[in-house]
Amino acid sequence: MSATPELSPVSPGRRRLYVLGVNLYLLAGGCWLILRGRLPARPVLAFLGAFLRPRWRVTLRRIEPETGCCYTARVLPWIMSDLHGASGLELYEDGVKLPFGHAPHDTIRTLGLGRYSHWGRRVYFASSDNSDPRTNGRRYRLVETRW
Amino acid sequence: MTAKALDPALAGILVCPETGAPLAWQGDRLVAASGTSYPVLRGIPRFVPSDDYVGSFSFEWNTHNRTQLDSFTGSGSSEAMLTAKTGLGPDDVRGKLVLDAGIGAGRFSDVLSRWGAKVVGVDLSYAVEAAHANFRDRPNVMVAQADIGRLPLADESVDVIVSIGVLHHTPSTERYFKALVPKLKRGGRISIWVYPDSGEYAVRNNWIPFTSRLPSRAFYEWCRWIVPRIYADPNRRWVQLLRRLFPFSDQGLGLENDILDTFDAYSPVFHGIHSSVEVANWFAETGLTDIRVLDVPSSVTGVKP
Repeated sequence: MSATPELSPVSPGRRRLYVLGVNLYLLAGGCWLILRGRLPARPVLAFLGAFLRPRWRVTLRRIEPETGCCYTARVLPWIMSDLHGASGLELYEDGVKLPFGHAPHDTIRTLGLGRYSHWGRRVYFASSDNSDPRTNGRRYRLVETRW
Repeated sequence: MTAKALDPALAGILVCPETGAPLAWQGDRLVAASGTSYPVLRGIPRFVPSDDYVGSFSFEWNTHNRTQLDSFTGSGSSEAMLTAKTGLGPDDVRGKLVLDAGIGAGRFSDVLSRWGAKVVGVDLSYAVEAAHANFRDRPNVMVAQADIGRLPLADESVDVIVSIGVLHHTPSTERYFKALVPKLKRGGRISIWVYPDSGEYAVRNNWIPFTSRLPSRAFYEWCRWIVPRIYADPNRRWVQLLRRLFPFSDQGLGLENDILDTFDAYSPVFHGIHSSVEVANWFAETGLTDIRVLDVPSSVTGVKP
């Protein structure tokens, strides 16, 4: 019977070696899983594709009420959303980034206060003070980030 | 002679897993009348020669021996999880003999013993070292290293069995579950939770053939490196993407818990995933009654008639 495992100190160099080795190993494993269809390829391709074109940015104009504090506007269909991967859109209100992206839609509707979500072909959002973004006189701008 | 004072109900409960013969404490061994004996090493009865396929658990629970114990964290997270995944409360176990099948470092035995249960905690891994140390001062907890498929307990000897997040790490979740039921007294309750076959558990299942082959120490150091970066800015696009492809633990219980739980999720050799219906069917096949599927997916409880 072996003794109790103990966590002996690891030198910074060995730790870096572990991290690099595991990163490379998992990268290879991830590629294999994607090629075998065990992990979705679409979010990865969309993520990489965003580096090959100009960053997308637009001022929201046709804003529609949804439910409660939530309003919605259209987004180009080829911009990756949280529905199929990881949205890179950030929402700005008069040049100030709203704080809570990737928010659950129920909390946008009930709590609002700057929460937003890019889901499918639409962005769902609430203004920073839950006022009506169609009439509060502020400008709402979506900016795509890459990382 | 035991290494610590035990409740009398616990001191005589162990039997030979091969023959079912009672075992008596003789110095640093447990001995049957036939002469068969098992060692007691550092106060812990040992019914297996090694930790076999669960070396990652030996590593993690002796590294994070108290991270999830309510008694040490001051939180009630393990108690809340125990209730949610078993449907049990203090009144269901007080004064009763409870088997914690797969005790780990003892997060649920900690709760059960504080509720007044007499707990037998069994684990195949060297996590028993951590559990034994954590409960050194509790006479109502006994820890043994054994295979939960070949338990050193007589049939119909325990009042309640709980097994949370353990059976899916055995070679056959169903077979190991069915090996537990005979140990339950008539009228006793068994409650288990296993990994559901959906969501992040299904995604993780794809990774297990890769991650389970990594040396525990290397993978653990990677977890310590990546998890703080994931949580430093969770809204970053690469983080969102990575979490979709490689789900990380996010239990809201602090960084150390999430490092531990990420390691725990990807390092085991066996990683079964099962639907609630499948688990409920196992309960029915073993003749259990009053079967209830709880709100937490793949949490099922039943009573032996």
